[in-house]
Amino acid sequence: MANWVAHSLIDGIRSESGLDAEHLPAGATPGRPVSQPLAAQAAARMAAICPGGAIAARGDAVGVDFVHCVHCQRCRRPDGDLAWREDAQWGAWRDAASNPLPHRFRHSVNVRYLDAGACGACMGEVRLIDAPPYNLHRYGIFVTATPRDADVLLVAGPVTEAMRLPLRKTYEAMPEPKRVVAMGVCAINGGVFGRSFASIGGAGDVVPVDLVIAGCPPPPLAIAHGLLLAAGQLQPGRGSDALEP
Amino acid sequence: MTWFATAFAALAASIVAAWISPARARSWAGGCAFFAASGLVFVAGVEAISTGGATFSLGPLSLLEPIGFVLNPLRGLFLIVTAVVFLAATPLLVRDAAQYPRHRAALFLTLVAILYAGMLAFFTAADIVSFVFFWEISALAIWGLVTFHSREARPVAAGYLTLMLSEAGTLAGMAGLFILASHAHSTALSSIAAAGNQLPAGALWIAFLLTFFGFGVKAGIVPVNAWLPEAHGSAPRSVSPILSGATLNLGVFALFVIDGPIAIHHPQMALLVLFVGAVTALTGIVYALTERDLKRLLAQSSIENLGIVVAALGAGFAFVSLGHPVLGAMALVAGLYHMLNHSAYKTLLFVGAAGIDQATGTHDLDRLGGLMRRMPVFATAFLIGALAIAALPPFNGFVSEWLLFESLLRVVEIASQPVRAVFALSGAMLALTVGLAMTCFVMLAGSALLGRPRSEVVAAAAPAPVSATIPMWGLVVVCFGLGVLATAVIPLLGGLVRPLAGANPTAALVPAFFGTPHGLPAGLTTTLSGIGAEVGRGVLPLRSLVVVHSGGAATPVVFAMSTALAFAVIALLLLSTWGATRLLRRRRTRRVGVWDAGLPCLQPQMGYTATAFSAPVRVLFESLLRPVVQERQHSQGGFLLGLERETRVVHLVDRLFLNPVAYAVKAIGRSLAWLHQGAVTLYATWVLATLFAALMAMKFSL
Repeated sequence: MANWVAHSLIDGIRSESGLDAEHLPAGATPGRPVSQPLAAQAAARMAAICPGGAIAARGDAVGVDFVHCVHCQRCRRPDGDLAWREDAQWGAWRDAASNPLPHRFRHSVNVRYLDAGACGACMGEVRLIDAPPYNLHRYGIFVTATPRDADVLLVAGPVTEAMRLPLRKTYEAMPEPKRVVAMGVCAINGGVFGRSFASIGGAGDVVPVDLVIAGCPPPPLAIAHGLLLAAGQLQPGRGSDALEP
Repeated sequence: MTWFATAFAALAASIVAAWISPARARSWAGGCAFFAASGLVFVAGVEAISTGGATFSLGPLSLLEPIGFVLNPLRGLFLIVTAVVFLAATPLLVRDAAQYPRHRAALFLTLVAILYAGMLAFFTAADIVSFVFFWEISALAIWGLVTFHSREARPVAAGYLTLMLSEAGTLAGMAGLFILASHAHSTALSSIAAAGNQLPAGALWIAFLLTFFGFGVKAGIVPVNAWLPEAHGSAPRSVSPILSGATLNLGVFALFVIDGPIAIHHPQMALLVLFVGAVTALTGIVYALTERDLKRLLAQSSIENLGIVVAALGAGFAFVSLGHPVLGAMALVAGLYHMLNHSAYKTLLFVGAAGIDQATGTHDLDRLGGLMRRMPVFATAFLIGALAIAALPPFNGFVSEWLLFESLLRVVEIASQPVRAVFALSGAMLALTVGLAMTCFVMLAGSALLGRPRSEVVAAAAPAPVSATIPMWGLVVVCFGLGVLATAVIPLLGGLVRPLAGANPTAALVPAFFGTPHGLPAGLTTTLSGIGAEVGRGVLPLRSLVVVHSGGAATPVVFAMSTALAFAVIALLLLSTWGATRLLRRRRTRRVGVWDAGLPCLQPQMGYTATAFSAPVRVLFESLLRPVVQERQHSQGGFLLGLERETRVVHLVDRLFLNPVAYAVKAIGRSLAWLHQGAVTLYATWVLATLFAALMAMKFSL
């Protein structure tokens, strides 16, 4: 670490020029199953083995609702052979009324990360958004320690009962305008924890969520997409790939 | 003169009233008499400064020899300071006296009146007899007041320490005075001052050291200041303002009147004064940062401030003795100015400490907090006191410390390398002191006023007592006035130091507005007037340009500052900016609670405390403080139940000076123990032997 000048000269620039999956090496995102035509019997089997209920059979096709997919890959191997797609546009508005931060925040967004009872996977991914390959500083996105400075609240975890008050207080302590990003399926709908006496089952019940980043956990690229979406720098991806019934 | 004599009558009346008036009216009668006395003394002081004073004596009243008194402008200044301090402290004195039982209250008021009268008489003493007599009266009254709560252990111990050091100092000072007087063949202080030149060097050094360190006990100089934090910390809360604001000036006065006339002829002595002052200031502030007790912290800070005063006076003596009377007078003005300032803001802070003590029942900084929200008017005055003592403009501490540093820097005009070295070293220590003082008073204001209450008693604090708030705001006005109207105060002080320094620095320090400063070539003025430097000349009434450095004739450098105008301009700028912002910009304000990291509620013990704030400084000065850490583990079987950690700091002066002295005295006592066998006949033998020896000595010496 001491001879960082030498290191940086030898290693060169590690940041990728863009945040799309095609700029990054294979495996940078796990990808996710996409809606696709499938024989009715196979489709019903896929829907049956999906533990989160993300896959729904619609005649000769399957539809995927990303906010329930926990990336167990059962639909891919060894039981299934559903096609997956590696992309990074995972961020999506929660509803039609949601909108990005005002224009003056476009290149300066402070993010407060709040672990509301997550297993640690989301934390591991969030830590990487400042790492050299992704380097979100260059887009003007900074992680801050205090909600007083924060414009975006990034919530992970199913919100345990103990974290209900801190989540509420953190939201209230943030200055207007502010946006709440629910990250990972737990923060969106409770995920594998669901609702119980100890788990509220999603941040939306405590604070108004504006933007969701599905995934379990979402990779850094997906988080970056969500944050850039909140900053108004990108257009939303597909929140759900479910077929119209 | 009649004003001054009437003041003594008022004080006598207060004593009589304290003992004979009915219980309900007792303290009020005493208070009215104190108010009257303070007013009279103030008028007498102003009269002395404006008319030049007078001499008077108690001829018919004294038995031995006429006891002389003199009232000149310098003494008038000390009288005014004393009067203002007592005036500010009187409401608290009255309030506290009303809480004592009957005879205690009368005794309390009597002691205060005796202290007041003793100080007034001391400041007008014209010869050794009155000087030492009233010094001693004041010292005994101080002891009585420090130890007034005589059922408690701490005040009694502090009282004995005070008395011991004070008496030792008086004896030493008296011995020095006798040496001086025997060579001057007179007991008058004026002839002693004039005779300082004719003494042989050895005797003069002895007399100087004895008087400097002997009378320096009251000014709290190193190494004779161990009593000060103890005494001020455990004295009754209403007495502390007087002890700190008024009685410390006794030592300054003695230094100015006794040692000043000697030191202005002997550079080494002046440099010693400067160096001791700087060391005092630094140790004072370092130990202030280790204190958790509000009153002890303020007392340590008094040591620091008095150190700055002594250093400034030392620098002044040194400049005069080295042939630079104008520079010397500048430093002396800085010293006197700082003494004024210290009296103003330290009285303010001690009155504030008394008010806090009354409202909350504690003066432990780690238990206070949140007073700004609970008692905003009171706390604002306290905060301004802290700003003033931290030497922030526009308050008074800034002016005097700035003057001191600028005059210390002018040592470049002295060629001698050793003198420059001492000045540089002292200046560096003083600069460090001022920086640490800022830290210290940020800590004080932050932990006492801001944040949330750090204990339940403070959370349930009573409203601030009016008897503290009103005097504090009066002193705020004084602090502000001394800070902004510096150019009006400096000519006054310049006239006071003129008899000692032989020059009046007014022309050099505060020339007429945009006039030609001292030592500047006339050509520069014409050059500057070309760019409009003389626009305000003749229009603005104040002497508003403080010129402090003017380089050589070839390279004139002018650092100029006008406190009043700078303040007016900055205040105008800030106000207009604020007003414009308010007018032009409409913003919605949303008020939410304190950010508490999402916890259910903040607990008092979660706050940032004074101890934590000062930890970096304590770590930095660890080699100086040498804290002794004691750790105790409570365990049962293999289980650790608790860990106790206690840090004790033994003061540097105790460690290096008082404890060795006490040890040596004890050792001598033990070695003489064989004289005390307990038999009466043996003692009779000793008496006889002593008598015989004395007679023989007289026989052979005559």
